[in-house]
Amino acid sequence: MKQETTKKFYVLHSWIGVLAANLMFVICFTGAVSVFGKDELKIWANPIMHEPLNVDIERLEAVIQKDFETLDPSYGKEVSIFMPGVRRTGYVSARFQKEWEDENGTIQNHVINLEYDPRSLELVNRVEGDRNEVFAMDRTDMSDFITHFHADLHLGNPVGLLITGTLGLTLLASLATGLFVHRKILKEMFVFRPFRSLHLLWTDTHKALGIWPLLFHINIAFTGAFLGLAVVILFPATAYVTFDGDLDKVVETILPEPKPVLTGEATPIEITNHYNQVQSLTDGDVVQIILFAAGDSGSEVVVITRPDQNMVGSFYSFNATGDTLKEEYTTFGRMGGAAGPVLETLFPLHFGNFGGLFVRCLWAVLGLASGVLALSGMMIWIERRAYGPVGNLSKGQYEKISRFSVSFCGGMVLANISLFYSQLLLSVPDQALGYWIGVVFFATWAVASVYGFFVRNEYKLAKQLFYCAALGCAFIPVLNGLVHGLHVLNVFEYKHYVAAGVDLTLLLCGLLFAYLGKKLPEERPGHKQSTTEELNAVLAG
Amino acid sequence: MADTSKAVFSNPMSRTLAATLGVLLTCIFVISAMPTYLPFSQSDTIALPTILFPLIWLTLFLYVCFCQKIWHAWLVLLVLSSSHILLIFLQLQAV
Repeated sequence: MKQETTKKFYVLHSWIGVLAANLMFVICFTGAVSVFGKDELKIWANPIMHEPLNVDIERLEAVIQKDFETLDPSYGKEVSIFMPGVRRTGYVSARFQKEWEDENGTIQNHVINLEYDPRSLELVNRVEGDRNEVFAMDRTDMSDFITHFHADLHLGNPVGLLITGTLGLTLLASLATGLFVHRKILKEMFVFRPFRSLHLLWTDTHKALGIWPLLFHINIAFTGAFLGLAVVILFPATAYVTFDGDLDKVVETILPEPKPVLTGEATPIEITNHYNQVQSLTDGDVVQIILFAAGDSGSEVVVITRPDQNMVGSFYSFNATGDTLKEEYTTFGRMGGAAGPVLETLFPLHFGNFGGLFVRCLWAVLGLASGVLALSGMMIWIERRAYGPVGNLSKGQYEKISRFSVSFCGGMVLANISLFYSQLLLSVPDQALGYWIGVVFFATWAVASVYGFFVRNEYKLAKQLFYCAALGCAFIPVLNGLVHGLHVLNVFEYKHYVAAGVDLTLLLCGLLFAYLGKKLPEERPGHKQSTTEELNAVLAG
Repeated sequence: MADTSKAVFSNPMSRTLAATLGVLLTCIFVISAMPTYLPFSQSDTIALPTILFPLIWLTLFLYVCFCQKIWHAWLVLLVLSSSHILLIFLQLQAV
């Protein structure tokens, strides 16, 4: 390849990386944490879930039927029962929904959400309003906060999703250009020269982190771009032509809902038969039971399981009594064609929620690698300009950019640690917890980012942030013991294995941060400056 | 010290505009109109363009960045956009 073309790829690769590096680190780091969000962190955050929650399904059926009888029958349009456990909350909830058409022809809805204690099945909370209002009043904890932050930075639809989707595209472009720059992939896989110069240390780290997990990076970039932009741009764009802009029709085509044929004959709500049948068919944990046209003998009951060891969860569709299993399908399974299976795999490939804990750990480590890849690229760019032969700004200005990057990214790590403290110490109603967790999270991130401007030496700054993170991580298990009385030492007594595992992991993270802080020099090592020859060697691949 | 980027790309402003806004808009037009000519089932014609979006974007982005003459890039974007806008128009007229 011509040197000029390689140079073009190199320049494009650098600029894409520099513009997106800090935000990319934030998204990748929170992604790595979010991998555990709906399982391990959910359990850690909710002591009620520390022991398995086995709901008495027959009693639950009776309780829901009793409460349904107190409501207008129109609330049987759709009844969703959410079972307690990971990926939802520690409580059982039943959501009764009715719909009607107002005088303008607009479909309106009203939802009543009842929450029950999973063991006693006593009613603990009741909220009502339209669908959006009820969703807004859902219980949130630190695990929900961080997974939502990773998805849209809490900027919502469309701004947040556009940003994360565009970052996926940016990573894709960065990988494509990086592949051209580093064409001698096999050779560079095994090159690591930590003691030659700081520039080479960063360059070799960047190459190794880019090449070894390359398939994972491509996967995350592609699926991230799709997931971020699907709702904001992609499906509305295709709906505009195919369905005259009606997005609901697109959803109906891709995810058709059951349409039960009503008989007008009243029948009590039944879920026991359905639940037991599904349990006999699969090991998958039942997460939700939806009754369409509940209370009518023609109603349809759909039982949904979570993925567990499979790639995706399954849907089991029954008649009202649960005698007949009408259909078993997956989320996009009924689409048929080529797109269904592809769409089906995009989600688990991004979230790593298949194959159990091992895959989650692998996805978290590789996600961190994506974050460090972006950060190391940024550091190479700064190193080349502050101490090398290129760059238009002064050395001091590049050092300022470096300090900002360190404090911005380090601040994100501290903000993630603050989530654990907020969960343990904030004494506010569950529905308001998400808001206050957010206040502490963003305040921590902002303070750490601003702090970077007051420390003149980026190495000292990084060292301080590492020590802060080490202290923060190491004290969480202690605080958990003080607040909940649950710690690693009484794990066999109270059987909170997952929570203890999280505590132990945090302790290990604390030790790792302390080690990194100790190993980091007080100031930039006095290695020789990056020479033009070295840079040409990089350009030549 | 000279910044390497200055000498490498011609028409940097026009190229940046084409690579960002131009490519994004063209991609949106392309995937909007693709269901009109893809010979698949209805659900596939809706879903496949959305799945292909990142790849279409990447191809166009790299082409715009690396083509020798910037007017070539604008021409390709213009032809793709206008042809797909025409398809969208015809489809909406037919409805």
